[in-house]
Amino acid sequence: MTCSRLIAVAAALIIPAAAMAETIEGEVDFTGKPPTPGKLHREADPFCAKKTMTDPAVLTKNGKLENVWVHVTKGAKEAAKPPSDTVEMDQKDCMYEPRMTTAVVGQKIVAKNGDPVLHNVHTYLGSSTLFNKGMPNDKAAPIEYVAKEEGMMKWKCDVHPWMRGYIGVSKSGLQAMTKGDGAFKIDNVPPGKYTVESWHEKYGTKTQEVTVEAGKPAKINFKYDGTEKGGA
Amino acid sequence: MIRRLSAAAAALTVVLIVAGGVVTNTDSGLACPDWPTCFGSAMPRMVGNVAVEHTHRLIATAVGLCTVALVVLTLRRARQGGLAGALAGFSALILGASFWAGHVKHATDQLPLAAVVLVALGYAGFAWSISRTHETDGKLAAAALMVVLFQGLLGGLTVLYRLPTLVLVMHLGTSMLFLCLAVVLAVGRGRVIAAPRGPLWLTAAAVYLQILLGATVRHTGAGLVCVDLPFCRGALWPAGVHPMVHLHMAHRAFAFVVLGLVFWSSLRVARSSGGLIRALAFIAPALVVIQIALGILTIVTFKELVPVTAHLLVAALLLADYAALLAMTREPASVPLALGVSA
Repeated sequence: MTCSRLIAVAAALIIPAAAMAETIEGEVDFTGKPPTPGKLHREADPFCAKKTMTDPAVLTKNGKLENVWVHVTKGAKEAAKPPSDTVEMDQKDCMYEPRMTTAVVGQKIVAKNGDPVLHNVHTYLGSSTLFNKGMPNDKAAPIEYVAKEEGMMKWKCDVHPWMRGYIGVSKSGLQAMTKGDGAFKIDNVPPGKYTVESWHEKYGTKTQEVTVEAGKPAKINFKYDGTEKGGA
Repeated sequence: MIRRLSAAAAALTVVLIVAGGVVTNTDSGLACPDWPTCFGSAMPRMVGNVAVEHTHRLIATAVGLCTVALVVLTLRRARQGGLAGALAGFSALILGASFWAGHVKHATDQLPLAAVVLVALGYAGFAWSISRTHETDGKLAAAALMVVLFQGLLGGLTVLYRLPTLVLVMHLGTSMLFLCLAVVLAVGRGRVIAAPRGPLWLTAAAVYLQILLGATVRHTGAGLVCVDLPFCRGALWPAGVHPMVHLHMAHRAFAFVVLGLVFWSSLRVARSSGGLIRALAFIAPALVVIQIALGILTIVTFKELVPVTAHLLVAALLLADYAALLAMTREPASVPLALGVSA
């Protein structure tokens, strides 16, 4: 078999497979009255007190909800290969930055301290502590952790109780986080039936079933009205 | 039977207090968004934080049932079965109104005023029933039931109002009061010996105050506002800082007041008594030293679950120790000759 034939055969096998991978996309609507973000009481630490901040737990804009983790909970056939890049969780101005992000099981997560004050990084999966380590100041060595289980990894600083961060960890990698426009897009979804869950730190979870067909993106929307309770 | 059941209730209450500590320290307080059910069910899927929170509720239910049995037993012994029936009615009124209020609050975010009035009526009925109870055990058991119902109500309010600090502190304070009542019932007042009780009362009050102070530190998030030891930000009482820093340091400073009081009162009692009372008196200083060590560990481990929960457990044991000492002693002058067996 000549080289060009080999390439042709490989292309014939790979291209349809790639073409079959679709997306699940949509938006997360917030239909209720958006709550007014309360002031965070950060006065106990003089460094943190220098900046006034409001609670970023609920961020809405034009009826869309930010920071919602949308992920496939059932239907994914394969575990994703962990990406080689690391997920960073920084501590800046006594806040976690980013507030919410995603990782894949097996992926390296790095915690940094960008502040000249002590933070302890206390992480949980459900009610279990994953690690709890102090980072005395911005010269502290980063903490490295490899995500082992899927679920919502919660980050807390016990020194500054208002500091909260979240990393949604997925085995399949079929996940996304909504941005300011409330939109999400889960890429590389093979055709099939899936259960998709949305998770918000204050309003909890909602689930939907979706069927992904070859050749067209599957669309689903989630809706919160602000009366939901749950989450972290 | 009453003593054994009271001892079981006291032991179960210690477990309940520890479980409550685990709820707080694993952030599981709002894992069940509704109350008294959890996700609308009496037995939700027991996973993660839901399992932690619901286990706490189930233990609380067991403590409540023990208390009901205690009321029935003590009032039957006093031939006041009718009063037990009245207490059952008042309990049903309080529980029914609370559960209804919990359901309405969860569904509409409004607390029905009628439910509040009904609960108040139920408690008035309890107060009336206690005043009619003949025996001390009956009064204590009825009071314990009243306290445990109030405790459940506070537990509900913590969920429905999403962990308000005052209610959380009251929730712990009430659980400690219930523990004291259960211990006094378990020990009984049959054989008391003469011992100086003033120091015991003073120390018990100081221990209770320190527990409330600790709960306030915990629930206002002041547990790690000072992470250096023994000073805070380089000073014993730093100036120009947020009140939370002073709250934290007040808890530390008052620990030494409690330490002093515990040594003083336990030595006074140990000198004038023997047997179990002397043993209980000697346990107290050991507990308070362990407690201070656990407080330090809580800080240096950044509030790891084990030391912070053990800190709560030892606080409960110390208070229970003083409740037992108070139940087993009488002021020397007031001890009847037939009962006085002063060492």
